[in-house]
Amino acid sequence: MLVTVDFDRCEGHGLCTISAPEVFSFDTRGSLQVVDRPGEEHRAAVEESVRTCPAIAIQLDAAHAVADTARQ
Amino acid sequence: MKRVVVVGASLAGLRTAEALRQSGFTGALTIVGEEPHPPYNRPPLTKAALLDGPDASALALPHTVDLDATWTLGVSATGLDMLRQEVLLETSEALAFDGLVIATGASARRLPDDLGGVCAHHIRTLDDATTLHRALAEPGRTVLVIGAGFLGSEVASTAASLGHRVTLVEATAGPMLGALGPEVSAYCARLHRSRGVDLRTSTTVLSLTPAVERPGTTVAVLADQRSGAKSQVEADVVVAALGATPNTDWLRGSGIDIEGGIATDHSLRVLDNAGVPVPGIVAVGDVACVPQPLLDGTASRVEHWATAVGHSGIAAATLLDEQPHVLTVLPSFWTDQHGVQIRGIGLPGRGDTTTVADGAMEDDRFVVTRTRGGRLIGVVAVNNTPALFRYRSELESAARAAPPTRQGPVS
Repeated sequence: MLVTVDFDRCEGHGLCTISAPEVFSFDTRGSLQVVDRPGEEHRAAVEESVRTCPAIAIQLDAAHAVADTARQ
Repeated sequence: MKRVVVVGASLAGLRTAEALRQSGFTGALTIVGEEPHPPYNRPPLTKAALLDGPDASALALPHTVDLDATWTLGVSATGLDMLRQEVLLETSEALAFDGLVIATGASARRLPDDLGGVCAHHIRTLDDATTLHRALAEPGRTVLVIGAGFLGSEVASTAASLGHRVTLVEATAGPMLGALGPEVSAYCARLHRSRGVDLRTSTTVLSLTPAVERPGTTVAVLADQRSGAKSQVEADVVVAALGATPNTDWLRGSGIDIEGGIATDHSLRVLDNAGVPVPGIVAVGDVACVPQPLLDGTASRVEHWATAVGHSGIAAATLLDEQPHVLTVLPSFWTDQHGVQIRGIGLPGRGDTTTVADGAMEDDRFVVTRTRGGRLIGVVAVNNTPALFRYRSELESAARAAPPTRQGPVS
């Protein structure tokens, strides 16, 4: 599963660090860190993060994100 | 449960529908929405979307669950027949249900017409934001914003960032005073003024009239409540941001208690006029007047994005007769103004004492705790969101420890 965060949209609410702490965390400077390819066992937690992100900044298995990755 | 009807196609309604499906509800699901748009995210409407112009597809709320729902958009619900278990629509259609989710939200409180309300923009919907964005697109306008709550303050900030000359009028002693408490409100007042916003607190609008000599311009007569002095402001664009009123008119006479919003118990079951929970009917989001553990069970509407989301899981569990994973929703909110991130949890506005717990206001990076009778009731972080999280569990356990009894709403 592929997790992408649109950092142009991210407003640093950090609710994802509560719903999926294995995938999202703040570093010591307060910047959001993301595990972009977490294991399937985290899917439900990441879906919860997608739903509860006030900035709609998180995408899960986004088509264009997959395409972007394929290009790299 | 075979048929669930959700009235209200916004955040709370959508998330509750998703939670029902996630909990295994396989029956028929109908979602009714007054606006023509699929569910969209409102917070950007006074910020980025107002600046750049709202884009419905960018604002669309994401789904993570196949809803398999029947959508009835652009149609208002006009009534509820509790005996027949039917929702009545303006199309004269009746939707039978055995589970009902009331998620009709709130509407912008309108400036009365006798004060010149027709001269003002109101902001709540995507269409409102589109209209206001167009009005602000012309450079060098004079803008009058009435009401310095979250929305009014954000509109003032956005308009100022576009280079417009902004006057922001607030009837109380400070911006967002009721939500943030006096010290953070005073900080926000300084922030507005440092960015060139002409903030006038303790000031009310006596009248708005179209300027005779300059068509399209409005003359506002303002009164300073402390001195009684009157003044005039001319504005090309007037925005009224006077808060919101719950959309409960359609339930008048239904037997549901709609005093101050839709009264519910802590499981979000609506209450009838005798205060008895009604099986099979829940209310969620802005419209729901729910007992607040942080206020010892006093019922209150909490018009926050996160509350709408938090309600969804509780409401779905209640309808499906299951135990919810989360029993109460800790209020949390945010606002971004003049490039400053303000984040809050709990009900800081209901506190009586303020302590700067981290940082300093003059550095534009600080955390403030608010207590009520010595007990922590809310925290506000400015440009320091991560610091908020350490208070979360303390507030959550304070909420859990409080009695779940319901007391009448407070305004």
